[in-house]
Amino acid sequence: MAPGLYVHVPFCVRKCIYCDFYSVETGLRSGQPADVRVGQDHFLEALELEFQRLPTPFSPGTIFIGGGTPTELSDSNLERLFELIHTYIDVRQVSEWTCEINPGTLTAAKAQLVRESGVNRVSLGAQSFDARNLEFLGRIHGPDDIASAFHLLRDIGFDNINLDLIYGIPQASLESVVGDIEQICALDPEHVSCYCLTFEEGTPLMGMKRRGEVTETDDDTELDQYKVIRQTVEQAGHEQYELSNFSKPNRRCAHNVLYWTGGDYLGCGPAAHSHWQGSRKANHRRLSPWSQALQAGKPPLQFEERLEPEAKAREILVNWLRLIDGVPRSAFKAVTGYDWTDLVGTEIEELVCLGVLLEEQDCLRLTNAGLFVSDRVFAELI
Amino acid sequence: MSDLSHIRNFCIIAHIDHGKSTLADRMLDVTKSIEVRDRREQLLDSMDLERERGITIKAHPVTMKYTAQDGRDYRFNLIDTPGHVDFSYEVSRSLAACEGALLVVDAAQGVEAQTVANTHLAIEQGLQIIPVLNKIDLPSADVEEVSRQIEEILTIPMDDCLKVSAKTGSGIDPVMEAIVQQISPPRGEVDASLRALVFDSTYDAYRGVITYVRVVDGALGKGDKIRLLSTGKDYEVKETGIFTPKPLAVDRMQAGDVGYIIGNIKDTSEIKIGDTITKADRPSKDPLPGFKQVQPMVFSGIYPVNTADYEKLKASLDKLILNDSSFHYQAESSVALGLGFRCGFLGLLHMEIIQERLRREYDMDIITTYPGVIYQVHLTNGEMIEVDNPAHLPDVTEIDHIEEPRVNAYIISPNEYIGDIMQLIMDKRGELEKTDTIDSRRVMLTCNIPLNEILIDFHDRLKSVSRGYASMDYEHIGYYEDHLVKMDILVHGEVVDAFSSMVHRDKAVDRGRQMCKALKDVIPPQLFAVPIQAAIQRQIIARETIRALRKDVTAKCYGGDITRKRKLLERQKEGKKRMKQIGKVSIPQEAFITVLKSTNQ
Repeated sequence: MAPGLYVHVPFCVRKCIYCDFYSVETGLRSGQPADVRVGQDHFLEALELEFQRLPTPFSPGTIFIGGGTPTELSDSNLERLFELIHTYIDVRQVSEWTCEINPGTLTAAKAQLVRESGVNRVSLGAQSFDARNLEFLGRIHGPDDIASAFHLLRDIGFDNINLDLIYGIPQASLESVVGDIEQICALDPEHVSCYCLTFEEGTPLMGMKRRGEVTETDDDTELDQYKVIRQTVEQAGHEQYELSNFSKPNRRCAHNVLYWTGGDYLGCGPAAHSHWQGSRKANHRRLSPWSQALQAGKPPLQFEERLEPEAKAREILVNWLRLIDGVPRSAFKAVTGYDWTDLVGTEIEELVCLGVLLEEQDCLRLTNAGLFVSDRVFAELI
Repeated sequence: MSDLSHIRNFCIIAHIDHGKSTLADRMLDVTKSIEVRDRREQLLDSMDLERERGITIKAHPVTMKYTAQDGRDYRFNLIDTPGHVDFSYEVSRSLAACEGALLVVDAAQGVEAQTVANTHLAIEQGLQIIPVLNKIDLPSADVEEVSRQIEEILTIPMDDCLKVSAKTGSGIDPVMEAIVQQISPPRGEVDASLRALVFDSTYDAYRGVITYVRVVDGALGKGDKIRLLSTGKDYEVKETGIFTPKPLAVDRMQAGDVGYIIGNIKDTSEIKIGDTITKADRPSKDPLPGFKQVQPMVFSGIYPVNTADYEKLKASLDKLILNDSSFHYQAESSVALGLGFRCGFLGLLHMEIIQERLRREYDMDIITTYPGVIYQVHLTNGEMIEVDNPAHLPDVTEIDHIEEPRVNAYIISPNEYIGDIMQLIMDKRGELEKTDTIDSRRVMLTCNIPLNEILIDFHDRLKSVSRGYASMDYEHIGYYEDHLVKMDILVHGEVVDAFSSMVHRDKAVDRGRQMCKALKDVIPPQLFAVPIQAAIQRQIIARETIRALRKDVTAKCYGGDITRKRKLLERQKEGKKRMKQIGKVSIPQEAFITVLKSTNQ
């Protein structure tokens, strides 16, 4: 399996209240363009140094440009980013090249640039079509921006578009979730990702919860929303292939599938993660230590771990089980060197008895009931 | 040869806050027994807990010299006794060391329940009782009314009733004179074989066991070889002394004296209250009457909250028992709570005191199981066994019938709360035996009630229905048969030992529902539905169900940050490991603690 490349672009106009990915607020709309340009230039200089450290030749099968907000780079900087990729990476084997796009920062010029640079899949951060939800979440765009960005991308020739949706938003009714998912389906994207709003430590959202300003949506409500989403998306011709991901036939996100099946990938940019030849690495989370390390000629790593073979195999097993098709015995053995029965046979037997796992035709997978309680199942297997 | 006519041995009986300790302090003042610089309020109560609760737990003797109006010098031995029914045996031994008692009653409050129980004990011991009305300086004092109560309820004549204010010191001298004139001097033969009554003991880290005695016959001093009649063990006397109230060594003690003995006694458990001390070389054959081994009446498991603290808890109990040999413990283990101890106490207050001292003085974080009593289980084969832990009850087919201890409880309350109190008594399986009018405002209810029923929340509920005005005391009256059953709590079909309890059949359903509900609220949902049941001999009497976990799914995959996800799952797995496994069900330790606390009140 060809490896993947992830590039993290750590800039956003404004941080959304729930987001715990690393990014720097550029606040373009409030001014200071000069500083922002300096920051972006600085980032691209260091990124070039990191690209220079990649193994040679490096011929990934997938590329994913995420963030942050890649389209928050200025037109010239975005162009420079693509130049760097083409300079240092052998893109001839790339079958899927994704770029994340924020509906609030997309212009026709940027869309054109992204398209011409070789990107063949875009992921549009819609999140909701309800203006109140978008405002609550701290999104910089309104409902109309989503549709216009989507049409712009379609018109320019993108035939593989993902839309992100967030459910479980405090106070949001089931009707509003139904409205969101129907509007998404009406746009007819090739891929839909549905994430339940998670309260992460260190986010403004968590602060609001602590101060009692918001309450987390209860599990039952979230479950009802998840179920209606699954139903609606599947009726629109999508197939659920992962806990939170749906796609039209042959439109699964190959890059993300690498994450779940123990594949190799290299991450560049601050806070980017890699999985390479059995070890997991994380770059410095913040821009300055990351770039300082690179400028000093050192690897910009904050963290590296190599698990014991069994622990490694268990880790891969639980991630792989996120896929609805489950884990084929032979493929799992090829990647990890283990048969799952030798690893966690007893646990699997119990979970099968409880009706949350199914082992048949040399494939292990979550049952429909297991999907909703997957974390509890995984905690038994990890 | 020796004249004992100048000695007076007496104690003070009073309800909490009626002024026992203040009166004792005034007597110490009058006899100049205490230097001004040593004075602090309620000098005789030396344990912090005693000061705080206003109760006396250990006996505190003090010897005073009083010059009477007849010009003669008298030696007063005041023995300040424990005032609670839990310690009624100790009280009875302290009373046995006296010839008389001052009965102190608050002239504004009147007779209270504790006064009744302790006066009964003193009368049984044949003590001369001198009633004293205290707090006569209060505007609300009603001497006539309270005198009438004492005559009617306690049947003590009040012809020459003494009226004092211990606070201001007025009326103290007549009390001192009454002690001289009304209380008999001790009778005893100084030349006879030694017989000394043990009425308490304490442990001093430097000096070992200090034994409190009243010498009845004979005499002893440093270097004598003494023998304990109950065990036959011999010791050498290192020091004899009196309390002033500080210990003061004296060369010799003889018949009539109250004081202490220090010998080569290592452990307070060797010294039994009520035992007779005699001399090894000239032993008396006749033990003093009334000695018995004290049996714990109330039992409870004590477990460390943190299972790693087991050794620390054991060390703490070892130290506690040095000072209090009436408390018993032995190791036991519970599936739910791990390693701990089954502890026996003289009563509810004693249990609270031990638990409180473990927490405060030994800084232990403990969890206690439901308090219970000793049941006398009569088997079909004619044998009788005593069971203090419901888990040890024999199979029901081997049981003919079960008897439980009952008490006579005296409850004194303002009239308006009587209805609610009678309801409470009925709820607790009590039988009202008698109602006495104390005055225009108050009545005394005498009821016969199972000890087990007053262990858990009786006192709190009594205080609550009477807005804090009712007072209660009780005395043991023996064992009676009733329809008692063991109730088990089953989680997913498995019995959880920490929650098993003995209940009356008629109470079982309510109690079972209460327990199931409490558990339902604290056990987290599992991957499967978990029934929680209360059962008597596997017959289900109450049930709740924790429905299966519905949702536990992290939608996000954190970019490529698989490590973070793995750590979250590992933490979840670790959390499960720390839980107690009851069958397939994982129950957090905190859940046990919460349920035991919430249903223990």
